[in-house]
Amino acid sequence: MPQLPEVDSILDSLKSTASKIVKTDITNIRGFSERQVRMLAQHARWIAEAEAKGEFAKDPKLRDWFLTGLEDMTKSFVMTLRGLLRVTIEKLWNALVDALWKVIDTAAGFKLPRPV
Amino acid sequence: MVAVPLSSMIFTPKDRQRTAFFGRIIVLAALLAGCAIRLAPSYDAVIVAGLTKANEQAMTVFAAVSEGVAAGTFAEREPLYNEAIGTADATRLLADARPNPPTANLIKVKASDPQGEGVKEPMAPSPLILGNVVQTLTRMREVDRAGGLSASLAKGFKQRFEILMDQVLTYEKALQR
Repeated sequence: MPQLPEVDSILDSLKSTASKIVKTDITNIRGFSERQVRMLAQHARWIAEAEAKGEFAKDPKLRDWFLTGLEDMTKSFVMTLRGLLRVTIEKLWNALVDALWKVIDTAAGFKLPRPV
Repeated sequence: MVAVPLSSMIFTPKDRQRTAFFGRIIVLAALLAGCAIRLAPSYDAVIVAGLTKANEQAMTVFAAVSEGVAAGTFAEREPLYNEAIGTADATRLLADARPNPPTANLIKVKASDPQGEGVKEPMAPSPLILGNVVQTLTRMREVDRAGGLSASLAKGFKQRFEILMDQVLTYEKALQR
């Protein structure tokens, strides 16, 4: 007769699955954020220095183009961050569902067909 | 003769406990059925290959202009610009054509909307970012053609390109899950 799993062991298995995914993904996302913030700050500083040196004297519209670009890149940084978080949530959800199915398979004593 | 319910003759307390457990499991399985979700598009190795190629071609252009270039020397660099812009634009189209998962429709972010029209945030940021990449290289080509590039301007264009390429490469590689 198949063994009925204890609720505590199910919870431990779910917690372990979740923390592995969250740990790796959050490390990657943090690295990306730090890199982007540093690069955006460097670019903002470059725009200010270029303006001070008169790089845009012949073409002030080029300065405006860089400034608008800085704003657009900050928005796309946030969009990318949101996209990365969605990927993490998806991985987490699907891994937890898979872990629960494995519990069910173990309790049933055979592999139940997964929904298509 | 004592009347005994059939259920108690067939099922011991342990059997009833097991039946109740399996009953809950079946209900849970029914709830979980089809619960695997997709919140992001599929990974596409062709898009990542396109990004890698566009990145290499653009870096070749930046290497050629890094110390500043004089007006009148543009012709020797024009093919390099065209290659990089072409590859980036082609990759943008691929990213734009990639289907979004159906559940993406459930996750819409509306920007503040004074006109009441509603704005949908695209599921994947890649096409928008690559559009900006193409714009960056195109503008740089225009400025170079018009009067050359100072080392400082070359640096500024390169910084902008690197910020955008970091965003799109990080996102696309994360889709490999």
